[in-house]
Amino acid sequence: MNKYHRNISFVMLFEIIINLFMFSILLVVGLSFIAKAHTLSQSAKLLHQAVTQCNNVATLCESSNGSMDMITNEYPYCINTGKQLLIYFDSDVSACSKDEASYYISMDFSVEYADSTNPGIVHTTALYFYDMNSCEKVYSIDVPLYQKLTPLSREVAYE
Amino acid sequence: MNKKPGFYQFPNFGFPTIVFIFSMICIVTFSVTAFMTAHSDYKVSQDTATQNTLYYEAEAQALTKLSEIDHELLNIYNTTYDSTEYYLEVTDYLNSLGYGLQEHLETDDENYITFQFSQIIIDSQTLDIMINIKYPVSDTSSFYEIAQWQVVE
Repeated sequence: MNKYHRNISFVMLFEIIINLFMFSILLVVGLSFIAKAHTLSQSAKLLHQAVTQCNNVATLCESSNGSMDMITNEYPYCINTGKQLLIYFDSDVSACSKDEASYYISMDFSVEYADSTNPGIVHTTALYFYDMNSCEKVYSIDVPLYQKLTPLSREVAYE
Repeated sequence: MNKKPGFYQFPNFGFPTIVFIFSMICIVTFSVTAFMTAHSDYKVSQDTATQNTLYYEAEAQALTKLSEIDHELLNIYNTTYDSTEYYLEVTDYLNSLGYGLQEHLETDDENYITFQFSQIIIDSQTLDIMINIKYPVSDTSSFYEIAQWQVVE
């Protein structure tokens, strides 16, 4: 009888050990899936916010018609380096100063773009949304800008 | 502590396995569902980003067309004497483009040509643009005004 009980205990212990072993293996697989899901979710959120912020800046570019005033009013902490305009965002992708920034938009503009007296030419300004931690580009768009001709701009147009 | 004769003790074989299988089904279902949801969210974000990029590419092409039209309007303006001749030349030019629809609207108050054209964004989406071409009333007036700038499915 004791031998019978010992056998039962041994088989149960063996079963529990096997189950725990398989449970730990499958748990690792399951957790890796959950970790990947979390990473993907974060990437999706960041990409969506990058697209939204780039669109906001692009709309300001288009409506300001070559002037930086609207952008500097909307993003008071932005920095103009002469060839680039840098707009900083915190971890929630809200505009902030450079010290608190986790992301930034780099707006490359050509000399022609800054020169608003040069109508009749389609200028393109590139917007890049960067992650400052990984130094990776999250999203970018080329925003076309055009200023209409007028009868007065004939000299400029024909240069 | 002697057991009664005929008493059968349940050996509990398989019970941990049943608990294990049930918990694993729960974990695997939850993790795969979470992954699939996150993956589809990411795909939607990527599609939105691509769509946005394509929109700006289409806008650049549309602005290039508008720029060509604008230069030709300036050219016509410089080579014509009055608005009547201007509108005739513009009508001929727009006919020669080979795309778009135009209509000359002339009333007592207003006189302008509407010109409508589309720029393909993707197969199922176009950027529809309509401009009103007017004879400039002053040296600072533009040659056209944008009447419609719309993404159409």
